[in-house]
Amino acid sequence: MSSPMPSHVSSATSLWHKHWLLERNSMLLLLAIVIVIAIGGLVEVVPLFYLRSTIETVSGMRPYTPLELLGRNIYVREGCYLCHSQMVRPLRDEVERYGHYSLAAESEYDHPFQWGSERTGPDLARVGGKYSDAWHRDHLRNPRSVVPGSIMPAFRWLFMTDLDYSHIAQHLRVQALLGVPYTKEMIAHALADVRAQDTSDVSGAAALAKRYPKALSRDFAGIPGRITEADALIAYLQMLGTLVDFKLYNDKANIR
Amino acid sequence: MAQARGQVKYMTFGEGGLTIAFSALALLSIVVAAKAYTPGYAFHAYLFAAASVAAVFAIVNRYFERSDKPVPLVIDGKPNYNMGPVKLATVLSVFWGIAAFAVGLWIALELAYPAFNFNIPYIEFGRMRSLHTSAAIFAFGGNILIATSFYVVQRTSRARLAGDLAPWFVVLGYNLFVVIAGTGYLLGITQAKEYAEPEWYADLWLTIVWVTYLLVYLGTIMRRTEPHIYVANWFYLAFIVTIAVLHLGNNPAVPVSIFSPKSYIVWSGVQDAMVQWWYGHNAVGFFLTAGFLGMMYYFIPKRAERPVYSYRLSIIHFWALIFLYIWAGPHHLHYTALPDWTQTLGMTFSVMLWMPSWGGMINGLMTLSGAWDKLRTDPVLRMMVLAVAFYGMSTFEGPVMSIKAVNSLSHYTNWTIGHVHSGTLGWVGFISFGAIYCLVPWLWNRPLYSLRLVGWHFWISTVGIIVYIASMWVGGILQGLMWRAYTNLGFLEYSFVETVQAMHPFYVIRAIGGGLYLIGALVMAYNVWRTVYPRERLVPAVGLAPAA
Amino acid sequence: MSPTYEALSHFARTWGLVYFLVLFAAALIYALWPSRQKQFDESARVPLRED
Repeated sequence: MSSPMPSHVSSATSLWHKHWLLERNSMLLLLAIVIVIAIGGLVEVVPLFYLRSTIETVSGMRPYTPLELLGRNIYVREGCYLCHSQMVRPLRDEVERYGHYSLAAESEYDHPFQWGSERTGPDLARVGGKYSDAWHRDHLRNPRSVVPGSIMPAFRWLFMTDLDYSHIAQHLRVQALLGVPYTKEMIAHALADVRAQDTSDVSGAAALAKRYPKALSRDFAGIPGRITEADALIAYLQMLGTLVDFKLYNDKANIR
Repeated sequence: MAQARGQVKYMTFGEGGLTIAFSALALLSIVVAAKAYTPGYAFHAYLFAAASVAAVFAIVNRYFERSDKPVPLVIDGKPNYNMGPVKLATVLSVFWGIAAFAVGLWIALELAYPAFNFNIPYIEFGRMRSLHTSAAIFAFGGNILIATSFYVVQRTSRARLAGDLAPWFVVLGYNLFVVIAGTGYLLGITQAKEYAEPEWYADLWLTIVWVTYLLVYLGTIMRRTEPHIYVANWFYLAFIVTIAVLHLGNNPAVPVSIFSPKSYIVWSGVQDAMVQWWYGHNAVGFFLTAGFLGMMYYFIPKRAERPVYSYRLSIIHFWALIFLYIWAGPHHLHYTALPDWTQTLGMTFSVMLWMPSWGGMINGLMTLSGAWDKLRTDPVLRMMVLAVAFYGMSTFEGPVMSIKAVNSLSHYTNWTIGHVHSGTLGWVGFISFGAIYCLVPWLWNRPLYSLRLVGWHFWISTVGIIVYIASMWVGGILQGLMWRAYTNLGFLEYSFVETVQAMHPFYVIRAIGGGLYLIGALVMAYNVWRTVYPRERLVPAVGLAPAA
Repeated sequence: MSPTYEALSHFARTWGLVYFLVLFAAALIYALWPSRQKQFDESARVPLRED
């Protein structure tokens, strides 16, 4: 059954004249929705942007070295964060299993953060230095060769693909623009630093460690003469959670 | 004929403007493709170029085909509804739904048996997982939301969809975004923010599409001939507006170069985490809840042929829901480095959220009061009512899991996966299937091919959901308990890999549940196919034709 | 004076509550206002009155 249209709305032009008030209502509805969601979100989010200046009292944080940054990008690309968290909660079992609980300052330079939401695999916030490079190589090539029962995919292609680091200076420049303290010197040496960190060349390593304290330089993937994606990823994994010196960290001073 | 009499057919402003814009985009894309840093990005640039060229051809072709008069808004006193884009989005949602469920099944198998990764980068779990979530939420969910919102806003406003090319641009442009996003994950192009993984150029494109969507929707409400704005439209409008705000808030990024797919998000660390889960939780709240509540408030009353139980309750439901949801995000970050007060705030609002959610559930269910007998005869209605029941269940479970003490156990475990899937498979999936079973016969103006098959779909998928969520609940709680188990000497009882191995049977059972759900959806696809393309020999009239 | 983290978080924790109560009350008053009953009844029938 069809009902006829009401007579007062029989043409488009009369509509335009008679219903301006109701049209305004739809805009009012829109406006009300925007206000409600905007205020809620802002009140909650805005204070956090004033967090950095008031609570960070850790020492040791530095930006990623160019090689580590590229390794992190591979971590992002392969979706590692979907199975591995990088956020140790202050719970007894987690602190015993993974190490000191994670601090806000430790992800200060992380664009984007990689705290994750699932632990299909273990937390990686403090995986740096826990295993040898050789272990990581075997693990990435075939996880079940070192951890029977693991369900992690093998990442063999990382060892076969040369790392594309030709645009690394651009990456650092963008990060600097976003507030990561990369200096002009760091950006200028970015290309050389990638190469220096993947060798045992002592002079390059010393210059790198001066720019990036605690930076480790060696052939991470064990493929001499080549810089592969595996080199970058292992370099990143080996520095995770190692920067802050917890002997110097004061728990009580940082309660929020 | 009209032209012969000296009347000239002009291109409209929209046609001309879009032709120029798409030509420019095609040129830009080709330049970017030529200088792209990575092959994946070049592929996407060529995709954009191809889509732009196709758009130009389609617009010009349509210009020559169409009559020189504008499409009438009203024919014989009835609104001249524009259902073409609705039909396309409906069919696409069926297609993407099956793709999403199939990928979900595949990655479930990868977790149960890692050999399913096959050492191929493109189908490795970490890349496929984003494909699964985006295909389910944005491709399947997004298309059915666009389809139903365009249908509902026209019918309840009694007005033709605003815009001429704009509604088509919304549907086609949105699906281009889906293709770019999905292929991007497989190629390793992601910004690693959960449920917001597409990179900067896909985000820019989505922004344009989404603003157009909002304008079409608002424009249609504005030209309504019905004095009231029906409440379903409130929910749809809140969904569209809020997703726009969330998208813009969560995605500002600086690309490494216009020739690079890689960008760095403006936010970092704690702030990024907070913004991400403000986005992430409200994507659940406004994409997967508000939008689908719009569906509930239209399709259940329509199908049951009675008005919603309490319109007042629906208004309270609306305001309380959109207000409370926006605060609930921090419950994803309990016990993290996020400040304590923010966590507590998130928890409080999450618990309060239980009230409006159940108000909505009661409203949906009670709409059937006095018509419960229809549940026996109409499997479509049964499907939608079960969806509302699942809505009630997961909006009870959610607040429970947001309590910090519970969350300390449930967070990072498969319990979260179970919770999410009771919401998505049960609520979002079933209300969408119900809407599809309603829409297809209404849009193509012919009866549904088989109600019996709907019944089969209902039961196969329901069993699938129960198998799925039960395995993830039990598995998740077991996982959480094993992580924190101590021996009586005070050592951690299990190594991490032991907890992984303990999950194996649950992963297998989960894959079975997901498989059943997929089979159900395939039954639906067959049913939809046969409704849209009925075989002629099934039509009685054919029997009258003499046999050869 | 530029806002500090403490001041802002304090503001969020206190005035956030007031804002919430006011908003909720406004929604309740709007929805339960007796004279709107007729309008709501009509609205509720919108999906059923289509052609």
